[in-house]
Amino acid sequence: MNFTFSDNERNLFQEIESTLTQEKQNFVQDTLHTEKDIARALIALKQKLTPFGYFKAFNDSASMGPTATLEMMRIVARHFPSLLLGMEYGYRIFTEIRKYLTESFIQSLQIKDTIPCAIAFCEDFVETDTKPSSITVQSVDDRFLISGEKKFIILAGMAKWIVVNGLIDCKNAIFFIAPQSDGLVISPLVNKRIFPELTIANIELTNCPVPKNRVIYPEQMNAFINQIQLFENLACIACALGMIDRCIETTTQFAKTHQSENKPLIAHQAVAFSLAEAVTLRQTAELLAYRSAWMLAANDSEKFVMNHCAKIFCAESAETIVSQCMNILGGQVFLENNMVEQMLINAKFIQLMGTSTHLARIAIADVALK
Amino acid sequence: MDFELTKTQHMFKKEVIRFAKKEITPRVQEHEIKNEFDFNAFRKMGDFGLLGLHFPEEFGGGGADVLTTIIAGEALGEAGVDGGLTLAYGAHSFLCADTIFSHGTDMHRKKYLPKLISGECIGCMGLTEPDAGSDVASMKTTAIRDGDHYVLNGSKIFITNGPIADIALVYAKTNPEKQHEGISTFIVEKDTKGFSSGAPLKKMGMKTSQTSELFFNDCRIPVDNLVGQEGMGFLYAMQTVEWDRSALLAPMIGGMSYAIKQCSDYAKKRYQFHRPISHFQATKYKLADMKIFLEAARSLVYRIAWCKDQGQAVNHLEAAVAKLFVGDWSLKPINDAMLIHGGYGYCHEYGMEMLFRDNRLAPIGGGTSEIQKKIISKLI
Repeated sequence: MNFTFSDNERNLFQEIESTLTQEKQNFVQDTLHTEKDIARALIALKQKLTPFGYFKAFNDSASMGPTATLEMMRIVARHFPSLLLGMEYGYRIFTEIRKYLTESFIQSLQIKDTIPCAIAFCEDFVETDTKPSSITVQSVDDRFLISGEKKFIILAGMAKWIVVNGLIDCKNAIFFIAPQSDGLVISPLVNKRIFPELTIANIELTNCPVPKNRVIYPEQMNAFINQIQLFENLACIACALGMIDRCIETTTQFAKTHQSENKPLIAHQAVAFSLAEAVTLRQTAELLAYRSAWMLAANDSEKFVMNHCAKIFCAESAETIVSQCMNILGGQVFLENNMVEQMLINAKFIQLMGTSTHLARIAIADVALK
Repeated sequence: MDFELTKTQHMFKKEVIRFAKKEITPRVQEHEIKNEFDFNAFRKMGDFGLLGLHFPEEFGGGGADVLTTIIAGEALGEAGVDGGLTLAYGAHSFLCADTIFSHGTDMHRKKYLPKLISGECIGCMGLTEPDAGSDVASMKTTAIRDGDHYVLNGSKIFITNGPIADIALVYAKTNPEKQHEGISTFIVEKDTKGFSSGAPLKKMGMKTSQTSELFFNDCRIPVDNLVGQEGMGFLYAMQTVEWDRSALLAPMIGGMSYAIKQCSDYAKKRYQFHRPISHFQATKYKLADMKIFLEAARSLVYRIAWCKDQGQAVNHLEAAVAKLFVGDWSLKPINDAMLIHGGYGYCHEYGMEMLFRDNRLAPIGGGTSEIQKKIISKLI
């Protein structure tokens, strides 16, 4: 066993940290007003992170491996939680599903210098069931006409392809749909309270034509979908850890500098103990997250269960920690555009993103009951 | 980072589980209901090599690393060994024997370790006092030098193995004027004049471990029985409690694995409303939360073991975090384990109420959760 990162890895993390600190002004919330601003920021951030090996597929020998990559993601989330999710959903997930696609298919997607994909699997606002996709498909000559709705699609308005799952003759299929296709209406969630610098939209498909060469039928469909969910969850885990870091850091600083009854807040036992609980949760969450990521590299038989465990624990700990920190920070967190208030909303949403905590718990229990 | 156990560790864990299921668990309920210590099982643990797993072979130990030692503790819990026996094992091997090994003289090691490692002798540690629990420095027990002897006066309380121990490792003030720096550590043998133990305390859980007061009434012990240096006792105690916050937590982690298995088996067989209760989401949620706790806690406990194997003597933060998490966060999942069993969970026969009672010590023994929070908050 080894519970530490290597010197090389630690140096790398430090470099990323200082790069992001220097670049902070380019990616802060008040400079990202439109979808174009966000797309530009995502592409710019990708360029900054690529030299660090950030986007290498885990099976690539040049990859730093899942554990170190998770730590890199966490650093990004500490600075830009919304953009972290954008990059993971837009770039990494596509990198990880490439192995299910042929080289000629990838070439035909023409994704160079674009945000490759937006994953459109979710059909309900609150995902509480594992029911099959309700997308309907009709075969007409060299096209399929597909109809139905998908919800909460990250980057739907700006990715090169929207990746939709559905059924053709009871057989699972994946459709790559161009955003400008006929019969496709993208409705961005303009008044959303979650992750302000992240574009999220619902889509409605009405006899939307998809060329048959834009459809894939992965032989191992379950493995394909599991792979996507696994990386969605990994993004949520990193996002939760980054927010936890930021929140504890902000609150500790405040507790050390803000006085009450002629002594710093942190000298009051209730405040100190509350922070101690937060630190305990953080350390537990990060270890569980690292272990779950390591299992991906080790291809451990429990990797999916551990991925669910880590996602639930990190997401719920984020909410608990932010809530406790709010008690210490006081009413200021409810002022407009306060980062901590935003974190509380985001932490809650992280529990629903990827595999919802509900479905994840059911999946964990099903394995325990085998 | 690497979280892989070696093949040897995996195999050893299976061996310990097999041993415990054969030699210990069949009589757990019988001993528990009678509040009896299982001397036979304890000796068998000695024969198997568990009592001295991490000590050098020259003293009869197994020469194992800390992680392997912790895995053995986890395996005991996973096999269904009660918390009382594993607590007695912990107090004996880690709180008593390990301190003698780490800070005692060669004479101490040669004289006491082989007998402690084989299980021929039972050890205990006397630190807590009626008026000095979390606040160790306020202890009243004194050890005043008188020629070639120290004279001990005072009392200790909540001492695991107190009534059955042959050797007590006792903390007392050699300089009552001082706080932490006034504390020293001594070996006191069972039949020493002026030393006695009280009747076993009646506890909520950990019933097979025997817990009592220790009394020192002009108890004269040779100066050779001083362990380490005068005035260093507090530091030794702090190093010792790291074991409390790692090895002694391991059986609780194993206990959660045991509970998950029991709950899973029960939930599949128990029918209500014409279907197994395992089909109900409320049952699944409880099982999932137990599994999440298990994996989270396991990572923390393994980390302490790994830190100790790296030769880091005092891992305050890691140890406190592990102790606090296991102590406070285990209460709900262990309660859930009992609830899944419904009325049967409340009955002795099914073992869940014993787990629940045993587990209630987790936020108290070896440093309360409040003390852990104090340590953590000081290090922020």
